Amino acid sequence: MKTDVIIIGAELDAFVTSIRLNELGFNTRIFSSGKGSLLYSLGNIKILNLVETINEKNSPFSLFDNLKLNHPYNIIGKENVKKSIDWFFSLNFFNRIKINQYSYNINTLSPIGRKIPCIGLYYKQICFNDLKNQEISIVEFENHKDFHSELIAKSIKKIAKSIEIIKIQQPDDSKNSDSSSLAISFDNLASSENYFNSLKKRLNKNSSIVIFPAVLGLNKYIKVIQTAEKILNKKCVEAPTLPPSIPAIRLNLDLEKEVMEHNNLHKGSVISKAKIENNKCLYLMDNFERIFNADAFVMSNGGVLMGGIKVYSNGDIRENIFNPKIQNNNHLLKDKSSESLNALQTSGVLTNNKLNPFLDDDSIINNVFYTGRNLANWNPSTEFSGEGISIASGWYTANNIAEYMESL
Amino acid sequence: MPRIVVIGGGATGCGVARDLSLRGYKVILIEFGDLGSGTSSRFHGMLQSGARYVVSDTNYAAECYREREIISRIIPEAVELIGGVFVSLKNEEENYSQQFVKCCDKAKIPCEEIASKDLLKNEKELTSDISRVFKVPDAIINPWKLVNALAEEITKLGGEIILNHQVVSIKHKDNFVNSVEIINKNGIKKNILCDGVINASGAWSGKIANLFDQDVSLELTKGSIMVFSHRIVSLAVNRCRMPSSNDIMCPSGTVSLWGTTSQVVDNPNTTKVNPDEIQKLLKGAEELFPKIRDYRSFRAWAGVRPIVKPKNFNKDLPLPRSHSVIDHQKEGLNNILTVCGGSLTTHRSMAEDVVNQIGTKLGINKQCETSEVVISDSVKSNWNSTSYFKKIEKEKNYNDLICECELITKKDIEDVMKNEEIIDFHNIRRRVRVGFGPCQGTFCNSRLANLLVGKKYDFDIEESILNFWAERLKGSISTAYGDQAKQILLSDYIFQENFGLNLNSISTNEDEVRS
Repeated sequence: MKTDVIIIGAELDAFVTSIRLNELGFNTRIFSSGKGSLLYSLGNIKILNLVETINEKNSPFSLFDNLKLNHPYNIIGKENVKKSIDWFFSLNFFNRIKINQYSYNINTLSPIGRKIPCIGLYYKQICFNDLKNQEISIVEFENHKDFHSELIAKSIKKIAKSIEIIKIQQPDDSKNSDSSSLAISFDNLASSENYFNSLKKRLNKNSSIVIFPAVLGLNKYIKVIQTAEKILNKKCVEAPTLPPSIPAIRLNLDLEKEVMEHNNLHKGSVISKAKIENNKCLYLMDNFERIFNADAFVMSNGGVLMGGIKVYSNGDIRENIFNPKIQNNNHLLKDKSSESLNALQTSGVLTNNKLNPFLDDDSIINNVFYTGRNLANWNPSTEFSGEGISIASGWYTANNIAEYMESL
Repeated sequence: MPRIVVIGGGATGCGVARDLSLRGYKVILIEFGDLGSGTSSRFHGMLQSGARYVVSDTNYAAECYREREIISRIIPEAVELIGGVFVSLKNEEENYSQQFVKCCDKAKIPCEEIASKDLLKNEKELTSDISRVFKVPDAIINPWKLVNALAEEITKLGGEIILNHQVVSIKHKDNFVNSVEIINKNGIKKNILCDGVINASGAWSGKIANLFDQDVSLELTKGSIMVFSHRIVSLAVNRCRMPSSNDIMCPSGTVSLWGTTSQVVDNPNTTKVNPDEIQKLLKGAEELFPKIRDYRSFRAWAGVRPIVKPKNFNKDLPLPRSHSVIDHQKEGLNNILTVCGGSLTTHRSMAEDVVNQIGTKLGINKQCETSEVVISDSVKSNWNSTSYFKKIEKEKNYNDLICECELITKKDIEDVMKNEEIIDFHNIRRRVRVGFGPCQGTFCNSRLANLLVGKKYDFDIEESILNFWAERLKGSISTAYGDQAKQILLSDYIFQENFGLNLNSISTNEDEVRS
């Protein structure tokens, strides 16, 4: 089978590009070196909120005017970003996870109990405002070290009517300390009815909301939490654990499954070289010098965070496959740590408005596209925009590739 | 017996307080921050054989060797007798190595020349451009184990240790100091009556002396050190040349330390490593370790050395490292002494010297016992990676790891928390190495917070998480290249993007953060 498009990376932006390309009638081949950074997210969808003017209930799109002109959202264009987000929420293949879309930023909780603004919550993800004036039971599993029940309790104390923390045994007797094993033990639970029945006796009778750590199963999570609600007769929600987090794994698995049904996914492959001629990439080569042909190529390999872009000890920053022009903000030369960090975050690949990379002589490679954290001039940490940029740049790139293919 | 106030809780201050306690004095030790949080923990971790200074200052080198013998005997648990080598490179002059051998003989430091191929058999990362190799009995020391063991003994002997208090004034009447006023971080003042004072505050000695209108002529030099993952070397590797910058690689715990730079500074709190220092360190390290730029460096730090500057000193020679005791009698105060200079290796003999002198002043004639009394008779320290696992197996704590990098369990943390003086995460970090590993606190920080919240601690927990991260970041951002650049962005992903903390919300003058 001829490959239309090769995508490097297996993160949200890569999956989105692949799914959208399939919709537009193209197949893809994806190269992944292993895990993507999606696993460190909380499983919710953040589009935009600025840390310096953080505000509840604003629309992410009302904040676009505050962004610099070279910000990826401005390169992609507000209308395109809106379309891409709506498109993402309309995808209906999710099995393990359901995502609810909001038109404004609502607050979920972070693993330490702070508010996180987002416009997409997965099914039964904790929502800060729902906790107001409620009697709350927080459930913690013995030995599970990555759920910070005490921190969350402290944080919601101000708004809740009452809080209790209940420590209970795990579904099996393996005494798992990590979230993944715990989630799998819920999948394997013979009777979740019995398990929640025994929990019922221990909960405060008057509590209206039960907060569980977000580990209630990987594949059967929706069923598990519905059983919990039925047996306990209370609203049950999941609060995030220290990443890597289970909701992000559920999302990742769903996306990966969808992509693998229609495309080739190579895990553990490392692409090291590209052949470029007349502003066009002809083929890619992996570490074993095997050649991979396609009409277009997408770089979704996670920027500096995931090693798609490399930082050298003398301060050089390079993307070694295509050697595009890099926005290097000289992070090693800044005076303050926070300035260095921001400079490192906002360094990245410079592109034209189709997300084609510029080369040193200001020419571009027409059939190569960069997405997500590879792009320069945005900072997911101060903008709460991580998932939004991935979705928007992935969707936009797929559309641009379709346009490019038509022109061939 | 007289009551003596010792100012400074580094190796010197703790050594002085221990010496005083053993001789029967009543001792109150005042420390601005935590034990060993200043220069004592900001060096390459070497317990000197003396060979480093054998040509430039032979007497001091001989003192180092004597002290190395004593320290490793009285507190074996803090010392690893790994041995060291001095290597000269093929393009270097023979002159220094010839002098080196002669001076080692004179200072009675055992020194044996070995074939470079024998060294390279075990030290795979070293350059093969080595012409001569001299083996010496260098050792390494865990400074926190040292100061905490000294402190424990001081307390056992009836001495008092007051942490997190700054000295604000030293009061005197008729040429005799009679009290020291201290203040804690909440602004509460205390007055401590005393019959004498020993200023052992190292790089801060000048600041303390200013409180009673005295000057101490110190040269403060900042030395920066880079931390590399893994033990790149199994011995302490030194350049065989006049001591200068960029000449030591020391293994320590799970890491290797490369240092140092030397830069004159005004402020003893200066601990920020400048970008140009990192480049100099890498350039220097490349001469011995050609592939050093490919290794993961997960942070850099700096300490400020207090060197006593003799009058009319020849600027071209390295400053002498031997210590001085300054008697402030000339300036009119009869019972206050300042001890400074020297090094962690010679902290005990510095203490002996200054305590002898205060004895003479106060008419107390008691012999020093610090070289004879063993502090702890526990087993010899012999680092290996399996020792942690053995401990975890013994305590059956498989699921309780709070810090996976350094293998610190929940029980380790709870044990440390019993100490009343623990007021922040950094106090815990120094005692159990939590957050010291490659991830620099990314995964243990919030686990630690969750353990502490709601206990006896009433500090702002979010601020503590943020401060702990900010402090770790301060050291690791200066080596933000290679894998560490990825690590820093992963930490940022977790702390800012996932936890919702904002680094800009804490405003710290980074040079003033002494933690």
